Amino acid sequence: MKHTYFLALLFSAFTTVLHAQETLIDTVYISDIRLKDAEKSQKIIRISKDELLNNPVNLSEVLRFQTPFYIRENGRGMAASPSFRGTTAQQTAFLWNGIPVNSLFLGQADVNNIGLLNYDHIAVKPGGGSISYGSGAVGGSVHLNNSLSFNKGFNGDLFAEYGSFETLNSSVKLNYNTDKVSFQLNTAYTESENDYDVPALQYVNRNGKYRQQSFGLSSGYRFNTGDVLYFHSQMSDGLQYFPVFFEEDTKTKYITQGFRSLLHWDHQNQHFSNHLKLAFLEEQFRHFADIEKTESTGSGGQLFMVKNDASWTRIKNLVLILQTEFQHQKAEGFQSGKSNPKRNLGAAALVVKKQWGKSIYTEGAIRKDFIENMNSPLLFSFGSQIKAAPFYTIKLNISKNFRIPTFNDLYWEPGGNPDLKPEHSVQIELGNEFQYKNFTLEIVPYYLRVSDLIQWMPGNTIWTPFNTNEAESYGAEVYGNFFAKIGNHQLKLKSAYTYALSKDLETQKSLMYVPKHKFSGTASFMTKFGSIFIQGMFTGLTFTSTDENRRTALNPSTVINAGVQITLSPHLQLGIRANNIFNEVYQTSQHYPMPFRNFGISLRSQF
Amino acid sequence: MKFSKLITVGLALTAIFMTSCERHDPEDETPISGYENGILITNEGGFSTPTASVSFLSNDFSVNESDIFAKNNNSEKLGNVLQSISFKGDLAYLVVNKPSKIEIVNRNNFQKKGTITTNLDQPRYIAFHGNHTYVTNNNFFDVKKVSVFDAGNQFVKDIHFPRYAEKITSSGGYIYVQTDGVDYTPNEVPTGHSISRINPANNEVDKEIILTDNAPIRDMVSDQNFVYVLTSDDQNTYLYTITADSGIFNKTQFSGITQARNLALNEGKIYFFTGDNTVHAVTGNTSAPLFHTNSSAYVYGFNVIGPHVFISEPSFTSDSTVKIFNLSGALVKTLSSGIGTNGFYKN
Repeated sequence: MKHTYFLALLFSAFTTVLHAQETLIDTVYISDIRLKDAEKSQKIIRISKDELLNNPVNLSEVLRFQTPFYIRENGRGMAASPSFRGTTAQQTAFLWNGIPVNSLFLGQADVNNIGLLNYDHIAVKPGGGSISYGSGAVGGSVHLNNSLSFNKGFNGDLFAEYGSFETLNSSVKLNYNTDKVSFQLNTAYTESENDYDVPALQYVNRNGKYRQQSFGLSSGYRFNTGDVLYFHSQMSDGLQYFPVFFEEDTKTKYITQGFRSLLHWDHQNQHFSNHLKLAFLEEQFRHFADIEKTESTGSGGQLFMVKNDASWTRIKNLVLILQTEFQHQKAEGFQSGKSNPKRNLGAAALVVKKQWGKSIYTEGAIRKDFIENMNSPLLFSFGSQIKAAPFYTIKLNISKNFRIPTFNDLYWEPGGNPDLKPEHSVQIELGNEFQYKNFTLEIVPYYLRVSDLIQWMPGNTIWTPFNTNEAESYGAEVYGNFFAKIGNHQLKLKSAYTYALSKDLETQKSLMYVPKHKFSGTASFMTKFGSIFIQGMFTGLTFTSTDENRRTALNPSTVINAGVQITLSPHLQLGIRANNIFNEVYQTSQHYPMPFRNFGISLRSQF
Repeated sequence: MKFSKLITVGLALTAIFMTSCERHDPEDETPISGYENGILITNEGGFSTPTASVSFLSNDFSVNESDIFAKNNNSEKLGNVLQSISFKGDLAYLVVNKPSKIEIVNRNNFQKKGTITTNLDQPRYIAFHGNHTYVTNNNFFDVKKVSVFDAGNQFVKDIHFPRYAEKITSSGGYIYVQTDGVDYTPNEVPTGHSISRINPANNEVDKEIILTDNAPIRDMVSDQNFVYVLTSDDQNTYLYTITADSGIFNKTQFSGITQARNLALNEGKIYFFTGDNTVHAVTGNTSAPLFHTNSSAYVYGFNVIGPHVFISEPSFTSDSTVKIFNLSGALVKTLSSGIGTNGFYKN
């Protein structure tokens, strides 16, 4: 891992040495190019760096308070799994600069160890996206992106916050760019004793410590001809303890290390553009069954990926895109079962986009995956955008998506089932976007059905995964946004409400951890002296079992956060933040209450 | 915009958040004054969650009160895995396997009287003699032992066994320990096949009783003078009656009755429960099937108390089902209990 990183450093150094000659237009380059296209027929929630800093503690909080996602978290900052539109954690894809980062073993992302403050922005896309993002993009996807700019000179963004429970959140970002060369260094460091208690429930978050650090380098070089080459890399380290309920319990922890790198070549000319990406990702885990003893198990996974998007625009108002992809996945030190499983995966997709006059846009796509030793369904998607009136836009999206079995599902010993098929899902959503002056209202009803769900069940003597029942989910998301400029002041309101009904079609019972109602919203007011925000989240009754048991269900809760930023000088801001102001007793995962009122005080310098 | 306006906006927003659906509170069951006239139900818990609990069921089945430990001890959580309960005078000892501890409560009001945490490693069962308390521990790795504590719950000594330390019972002035049994690996052939006897006078093993079949030991119970041991395999079931003070046993073979699992002693009569969900009653050297429980699920807990047979069909993620039959097999009552219901104890 160290070697790879050294190479990354060398490459970054190399690109910065290249000379700048001609001035090109200033553009911000984001590697996740498919995201922007998806916005034509689906909703995308974008979270800027400023908005991220309203919830700087971890990604779970950002998603919980700023998007319709439900994040089940075993206590603040602990193991977390997302779910959206009634799908499982494995059916939410996490992408780092467009590259999938869900675990090869568990299928889900390690939400609280994936980094937060080192990204330039985060986007969340509800709904299916397997055509663009492959396995796991069923319920929705989370996009963690770095961006590269040109021609902006030297700039930086430094942030440090100290908060309750001995929590430190910090990040440093430095950019240097000319019209030819761009260079970015980003680091983030966070740690917490996290020893909060919730007296009302006699809960103490014992053994809840965590620490994460990440270090990223990005660089880009623009050629004269419309070619841009850029590179992103990130090295991360996480230490996570697991909370225990009793002092007498054996305390456990795990250490994770990751390396991600991506080389992206962007070629544009009049009628043709091509994006070629090469990515290499590595993750390593070490589990300690007793924090005082040596490591008990460990494993590592590697992913090598080539992804290419070629688009033709020779015919007016028609875009033809051929997407191809190859992946090699490999696991090492896998404790039981097949010693070093690996597999090759390939995929090809054809996308056609057409603009009909001014107000109608349509797109259609098919994708076929070729997975070693496994049949994969033919995927498709159809999207449309109709500007029905100046104030009313309709977005339609229909798609078939999938999730392939993980290494654990296939090879875990005992129990792994090598005969598993991918899970697949059909989904339809209809976005209604109303715009009136500075007010936007979007209502997105959806329906989705997931088949061949992979579930671990007790077999004869051991647990084995099977492709079993089907689940159905329908409901709607409602987004309300408002923006006003009053003199030098700005008022911004962002809110999201979800209504979700999900059930297992065999038992006809609700799925667990899918609240029927969830609302979150943030209001912020900005002046030249600073800004203030108030944020709230309501979560309705949430079942924690598969039998709709009300006794073990999580009670409805309303959590309010607020914060203020004071501009001390043009480059320096002081921030004070309070979470859970009204001491609401709430849990996102049964038995793991979240902290009462807690604070953070921060300094941020931008130059 | 004025600051006052901002506050208005803030308040309005808060008001929106506060508008919520009906709030749900767990059903309020008023604790009844005492738990002496009824049955304690142990709910093992979900292993990874602190959901072990004890439920109380009145003798006439009219009161079914859940989680009586938490309810009478300021909502304190009992543990992740509750293995068993034994009684000594006014006290009930709750043996918690995860985390390793023993909670001592008054058996009539369930208020906590003490906790033993020292020198335990995944404790399983408990027995008493005189001033001493004997606890079996098995971590299924390197510790298989009986830990001895004195009247003040202070640790006295460990007695280690090579293979197993499971059921433990006091009879005829001795402590009997099941020191062999089924392991968790399928098809494992029992090796030592022994019951060991501890003499409380010096807390040493004074006798090892080697059973004379190849069937794994399934259960062990006792009355004042006799210890009963159940073994079974895919062919037969065997019942050993050990005279506690001599250690001499009498073996009964029930040919063709397979996979007997649980033993119950009720009003001087022996009952056992088999893998095919049949309740058998023992009379002299013969056994007769009483009835089949018609359970489609796996049956975990079993006991016979007075005129009733109790069984549990457990769930480890949600509430378990308890079924109560009369001795002729009529289903008297079905009720829902806690997570992983594993036992029934007459209080």
